[in-house]
Amino acid sequence: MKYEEIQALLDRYWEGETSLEEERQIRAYFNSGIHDERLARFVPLFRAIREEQELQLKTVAKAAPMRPQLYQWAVAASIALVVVAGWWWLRDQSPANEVIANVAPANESPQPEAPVARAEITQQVVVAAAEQPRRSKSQKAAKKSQKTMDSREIDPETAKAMAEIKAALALVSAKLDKGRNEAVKSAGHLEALDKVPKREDG
Amino acid sequence: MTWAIFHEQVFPIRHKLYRFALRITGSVHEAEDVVQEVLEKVWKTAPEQIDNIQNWEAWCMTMTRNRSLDKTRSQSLRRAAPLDGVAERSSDQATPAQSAETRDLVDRAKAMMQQLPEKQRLVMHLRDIEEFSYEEIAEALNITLDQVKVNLHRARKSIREQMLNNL
Repeated sequence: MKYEEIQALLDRYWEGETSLEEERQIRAYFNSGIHDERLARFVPLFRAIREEQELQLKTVAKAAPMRPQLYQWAVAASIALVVVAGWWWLRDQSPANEVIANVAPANESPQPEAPVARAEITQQVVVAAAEQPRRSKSQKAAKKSQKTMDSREIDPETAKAMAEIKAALALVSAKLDKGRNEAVKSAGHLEALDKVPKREDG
Repeated sequence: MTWAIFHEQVFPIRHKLYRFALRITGSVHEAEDVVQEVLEKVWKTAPEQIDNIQNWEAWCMTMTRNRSLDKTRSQSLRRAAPLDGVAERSSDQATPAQSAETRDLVDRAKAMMQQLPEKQRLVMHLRDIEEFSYEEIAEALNITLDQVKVNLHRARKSIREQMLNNL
């Protein structure tokens, strides 16, 4: 750009009459490294403006809230893990297993007097609870002994539940692995990006 | 506030908000805190208020300005304080060919801009650094178009005189 042209632009700039595009031209001129010596005293101003334009917030992560979907998935996964682990632990520790196991056979006995209109599950629970006190002490003792032995074996329902839990845990594990792999991959990209300026500097 | 609006319209202007906060507070740490607070406040914007916001950038700039001024006044920071951390960053970027004298002149030019009266300083910043239109400046600073033009003219005139006399 000729001296007269840039001088005319500058005069309008000081008056606040230049457009944004004209102001970009002025900054480009003074930051190009080639300028008329008569205008040298204004170089620092436009270099300062250029530097200020390039100033960026360094703490990006600090300013960015977590993506809601990821946050929700993290919370859901945490809750699921706690629930499954807690259920598994209680199931192994609690003596209630035996009571539940004792009630189960009563559900299978025929109950002709039960009303048909009632919900079947509710009916079975009520009947099972009513049947329990009728049993003789010897029956209970025998049953308890048998169930204590059976608890060491794995019945089909337990095996099925275990399989489902294993599948659920495997799914959670796979998701976690996937997230970890993505993070490792991203870290690899960042390391590659870090190397680019070093090559240019070299 | 939805993630889409935040991600597409608010988060990308965080650097502008930071530079604006830095211009007002003169402190890197204060400016970072201001941006953090503004982004958190925007994120918690009530759904019924979101529909009324036409220009997120101007709205965020206004919030940044108000928060920065509150911070500056409450902590009695000196308005004309040099931009701490900025000179250090600039030195890091100086090329070997750039002499110490040139570096000093650039820093002095920055100090001149920083020492302008508040309104002139903010108008010149939004125009020359952020390349805002006059209308956008008026909206962000809640002043009239005439005030924008007058303050920009005075700011540039003041800088020009200082450069002719001192540099």
